[in-house]
Amino acid sequence: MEEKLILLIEDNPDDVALTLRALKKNSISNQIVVARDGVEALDYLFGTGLHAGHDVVAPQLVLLDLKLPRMDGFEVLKRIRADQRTRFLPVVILTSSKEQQDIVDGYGLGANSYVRKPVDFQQFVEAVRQLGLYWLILNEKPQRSPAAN
Amino acid sequence: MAWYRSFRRNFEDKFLGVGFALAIVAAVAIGWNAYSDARESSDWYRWIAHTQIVIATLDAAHADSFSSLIALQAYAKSEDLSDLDKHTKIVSRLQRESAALRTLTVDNPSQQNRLDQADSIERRASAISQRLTHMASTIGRKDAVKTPDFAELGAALYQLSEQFDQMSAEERRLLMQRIARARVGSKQSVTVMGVGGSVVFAWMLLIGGYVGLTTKRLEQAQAGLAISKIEVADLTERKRSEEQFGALLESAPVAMVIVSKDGRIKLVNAQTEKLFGYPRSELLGNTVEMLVPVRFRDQHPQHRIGYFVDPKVRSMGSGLELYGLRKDGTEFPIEISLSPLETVEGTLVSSAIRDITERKRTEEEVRVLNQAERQHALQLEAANKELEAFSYSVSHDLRAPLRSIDGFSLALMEDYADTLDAEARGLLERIRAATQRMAQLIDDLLNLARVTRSEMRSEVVDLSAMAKVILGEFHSLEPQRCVECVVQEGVIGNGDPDLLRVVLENLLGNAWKFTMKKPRAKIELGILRRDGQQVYFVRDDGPGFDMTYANKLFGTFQRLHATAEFPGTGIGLASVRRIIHRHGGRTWAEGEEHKGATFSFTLHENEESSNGRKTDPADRR
Repeated sequence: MEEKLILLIEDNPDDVALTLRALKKNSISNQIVVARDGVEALDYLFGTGLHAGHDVVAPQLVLLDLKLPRMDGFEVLKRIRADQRTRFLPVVILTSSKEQQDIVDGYGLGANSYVRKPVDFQQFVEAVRQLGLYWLILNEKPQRSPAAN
Repeated sequence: MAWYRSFRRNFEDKFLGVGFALAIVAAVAIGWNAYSDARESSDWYRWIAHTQIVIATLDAAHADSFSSLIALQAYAKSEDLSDLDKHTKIVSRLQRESAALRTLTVDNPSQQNRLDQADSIERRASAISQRLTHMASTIGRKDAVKTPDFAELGAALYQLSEQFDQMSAEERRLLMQRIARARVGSKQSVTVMGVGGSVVFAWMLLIGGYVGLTTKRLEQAQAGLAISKIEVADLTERKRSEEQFGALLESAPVAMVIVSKDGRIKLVNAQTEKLFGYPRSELLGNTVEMLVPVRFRDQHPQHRIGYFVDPKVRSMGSGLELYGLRKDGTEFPIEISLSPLETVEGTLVSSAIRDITERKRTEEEVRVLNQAERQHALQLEAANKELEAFSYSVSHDLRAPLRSIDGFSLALMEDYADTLDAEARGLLERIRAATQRMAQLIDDLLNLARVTRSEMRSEVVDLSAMAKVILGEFHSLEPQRCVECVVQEGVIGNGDPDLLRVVLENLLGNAWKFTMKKPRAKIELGILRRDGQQVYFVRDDGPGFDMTYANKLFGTFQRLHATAEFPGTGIGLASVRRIIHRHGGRTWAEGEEHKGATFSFTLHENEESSNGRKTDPADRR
């Protein structure tokens, strides 16, 4: 069950609500786990801190905001890519910024996609629909985690 | 006894005659030898003094070429005309110095050759300075400083300083050579005098042995004659060379002080009197320490004695700050170069003293200026960083609430569709429209900021081709529009392709937008020549505008039309103006209500004469 979940790393509750709404409108019924900042996200992924006790989780998709309290999105991405167990996780940066520097840094650290959140909600719903279709249905992920190799 | 007397008289007569003749020959020979030696070595001394003066003049010229450069740089920073004036004055002083050098080095073809080059650089520099002064009053100081002329002038002055430096190096080499030759010469002279003198003395002894006491007077007279001959030769020659040396010293542009081993001042020139405020009479014979500030006075004799142990051409206390003491008790910074001067009176030291107050002051000014500039650069960097952080924050944080407003308005409309009446839905639509507009404004503002701070490239850009692509994009977005697009071929601009694209997108975009209500519209892009200037223009036959407001057009957020009438944020033309300003050009608009509008711009106005003539499409029309 955990395999199909989506990890949404987002600190703004409005954006969380709108993303959930957009997913729902697109009939994406996967379990959605929300992390409010970078530290919480890593704790969840690696079973540390608040989430101590459970195994490493490998979500189907990570939606990552860049501007986050405590630990920003770039640092989260760096840690995900640095760890053998999460190295192949599909991470989509979902952010307000379209600064070239952010886009370049995002890809540089190994993001799989970079999507700017449109202000127009209808466009946002469409963006989420395409992301869901691609990453949850079309894209093939490796059967075993790289750590097992 | 009579025979003896007769023999003796006979012998005396003959021997004395021969001896006398021999002694005279010897004395004359020695005299001549000494004379020519003295002459030769005094020639060398004259040359040494001469070379010292040439070096001093060259160093002054070298310093002046730098001072003029510094004054020029000061002008670039201060835009104060007095700095430019100072610069021009130094350049004309340089020309005088070159003229003096021409006379001084008339014997040296390679130096004359270098002077020719220096002269031509000076003439060029002087011409450019005049042009700059003229430009300062015509196109303005700020723009004058940005012209290629200005850069050329700086390069020329630097070249000039190098030229003088090379000449100075050459003279220093000659100086060393001459000092070495003079040493050898005076050594030879001493040897010849010594050996020759003893030969004459031996002769006299021999003669004296024969002629007895009676001839001793003669011997003394002869020896006296020989010595006085030498002395006379030496004295006249010395006098002559001293006179010439003195004349050269007097006219030297630096203070020359010649000091003996015991520190007594032997000779000074007019510059010394002027510099230290003492009349010559008070200086001569006194110790040189009187010109040294009290706090250094104790150590000075030690340094002086040290110098005489190993006298060679060098600057005094290199790396140290040296000061001179005037008669009135004031001090001033100086630079001293020392060289030994071998004379009949023994080794003297000749010091060339230059007042470097002015140089110190300009150095200090430059230092302060540089510091201020560094400070300014740091502030600018901080401001830029702040602006970047600000832009980033705007792009992130201002958009987020807009997404919420839009998203939740839509959620309301969807989730409460049955309870909301048409008016409520209309209000929510308005809210959503406003958020879209706000989002657009934020994006445009960010673009404007980017346009202002982005790095610029310089390339030849085919504006005709670029315009066609942009208009093609407009057509494909609104294929129903009927717009006749007339793009003149070969419109070339020099600049940053990305930024020039933003200019064309905005100008053509405006033309496209403002003609949207016309069933058949016309948009033109072209180039024409006005007042010797290439003018790029974009013309449309849209609603035009009232020229009273032409100036408002390029202001940020300024609009002449209601948003409902024509959409837009009022940032496009502000971006255009910023980009064109960054390219050294101007923007302006001409129009009349209901008769269309023309937006024009220029690029690189100041450099027009150098690269604008190549393509003059106005002729091709």
